[in-house]
Amino acid sequence: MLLIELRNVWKIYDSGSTRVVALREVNLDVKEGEFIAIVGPSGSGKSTLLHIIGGLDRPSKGVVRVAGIEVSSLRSDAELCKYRNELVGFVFQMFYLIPRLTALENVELPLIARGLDPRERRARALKALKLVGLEHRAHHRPAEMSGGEQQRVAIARAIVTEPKLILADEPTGNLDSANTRVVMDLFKKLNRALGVTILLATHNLELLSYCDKAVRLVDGRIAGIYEKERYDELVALSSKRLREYDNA
Amino acid sequence: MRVRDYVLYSFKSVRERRGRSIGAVIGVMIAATALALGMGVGRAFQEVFAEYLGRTLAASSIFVMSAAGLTDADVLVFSQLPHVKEAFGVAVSQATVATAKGYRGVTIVAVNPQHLAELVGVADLNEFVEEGVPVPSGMGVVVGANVWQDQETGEKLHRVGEVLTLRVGGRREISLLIIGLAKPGGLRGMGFSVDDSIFMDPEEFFALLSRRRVYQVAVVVLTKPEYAAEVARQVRALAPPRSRVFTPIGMVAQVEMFVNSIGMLLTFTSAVSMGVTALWVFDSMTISTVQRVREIGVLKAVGFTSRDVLLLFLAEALLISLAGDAAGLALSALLSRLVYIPVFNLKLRPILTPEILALTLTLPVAANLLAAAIPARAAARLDPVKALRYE
Repeated sequence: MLLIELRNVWKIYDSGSTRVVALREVNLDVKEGEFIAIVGPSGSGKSTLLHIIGGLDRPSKGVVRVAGIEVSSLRSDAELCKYRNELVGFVFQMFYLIPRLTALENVELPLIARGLDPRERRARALKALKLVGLEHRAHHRPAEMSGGEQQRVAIARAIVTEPKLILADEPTGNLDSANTRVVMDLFKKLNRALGVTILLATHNLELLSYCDKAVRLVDGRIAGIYEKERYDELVALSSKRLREYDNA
Repeated sequence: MRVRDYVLYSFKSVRERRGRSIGAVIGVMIAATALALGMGVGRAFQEVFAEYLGRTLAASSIFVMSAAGLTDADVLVFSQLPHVKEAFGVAVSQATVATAKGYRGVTIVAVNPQHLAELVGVADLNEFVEEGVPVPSGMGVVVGANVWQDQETGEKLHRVGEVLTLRVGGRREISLLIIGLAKPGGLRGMGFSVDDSIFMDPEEFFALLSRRRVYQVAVVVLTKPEYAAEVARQVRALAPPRSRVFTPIGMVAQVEMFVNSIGMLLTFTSAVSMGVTALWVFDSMTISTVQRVREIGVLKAVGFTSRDVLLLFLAEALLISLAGDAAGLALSALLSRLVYIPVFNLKLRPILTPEILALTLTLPVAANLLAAAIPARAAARLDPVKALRYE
């Protein structure tokens, strides 16, 4: 069953004299429960694509439909916030935890926005922290935790509302290889156990092994969609482009 | 979002930047205190001073003073004027009384007993005396508080039933019997101090101290204070030459102006204080918005609406204002007991009515919410994508 449908999606940033096309003619279908990598060089439109699917940004043209909701036609702030709160969980490269709040309070934030009863909220936040293996760090502030732990708290914050979709933008970009493995294993576990659909934007092609499919973006356009068996082709292509870049 | 969550989240943010928050709280406290005291002084004047003056001779009387003396006929003429309720004469003479520290000056005052209460500014003559009888009779006199007790120690120097010897007109001495001790303090009439006076029966006064039956002062009591200027003009025309006509209501107006000036000064201080605090809150919230751009982006990403963000920032300003207001009200309540403006013998203390408390509570809060509204609106309007990318 389709969860995400993108039809002829464009994103153009027009600031007077400068016109930047961040996404052009993007068409994409994502089935429920899929774990998809969005790969491509910096500036290829990976983050913009995630922001548009997540309702943080609007496409300039085209249709974005998620779980039957036409996100591109949502206009009011309240509608967009409700959509983000109920259907989407975001994970960012810099974790973006609020420093003065404990891990538990950070995880509770989406439920506070929802206006949930404090006791139920706390129970659900603790459950989410347990799922990421950090219930023992519930009352610690971000500054008292390692980068890997902070990212796991951010993942707990993303899943606490039990969303259908997780949008992870370079979630391992600030982690060492050991923590990268821990975080990716966690994503895989959530994908398998809870059936959450995950879109992961990354530069790191080593992470492809965790994903069912990879979408390659070049200059805002989908340059190819690669199934697992074609990953070698994608890696070779990326290495070639890297060599060309080095020689230039 | 629940109200409780707005409060808790805002409280954590206020606590995180406690230096700035404490500064703002102190500013609100000063503004609230100055506002409450400023309005309280004005109210005190209205309730205590003006009402007291209205009750006594001062506000509704005209005093006529003549060195040559005013006769019963003069007083009768004054009493017949339009808008005059009554007129009576007061005979006054200076004397000295011997004390352990030497001689001290006193004023001997003689007035018809039926006007004594009005002259000394009491509703009932029984309120006039601390001990003994209030009405002088024959050689029996009522002595003022500064005469019968030591002003510094409060020690009783004379008692009811004692003979008091006075020196009048140079070396002549007269002996009088103390039959009453007047209560100390309070504004009682104008032009003389009750505490430094000795009240005497007029017939005995004229027999012992005056060769002629004349009064040094005539008091003209009006039906309403607003006729003071008109009646004073007529009294001036009818009074003997070189008489002085004095309308205390003019003086009351001056006192009112003085008290109002103090009230205005405090209110101005409060306005400046409120303005400075509002600027402080504006500055503090603007810095907070800039420092928390990414946080606002995250809040929006997880489902907080622009309205939630706006209310979170306003709640921070509200918490600061309420804390400062509470401290200001407590300080005002304390100062209203300790601080007073001395006017004549009255101690004018600020009166904090429910209306004043309500205004003190709402005005600084409103000013700070207004100041916080601009950065709060900017925070609420932040584009989540730009906020998340903010470096």
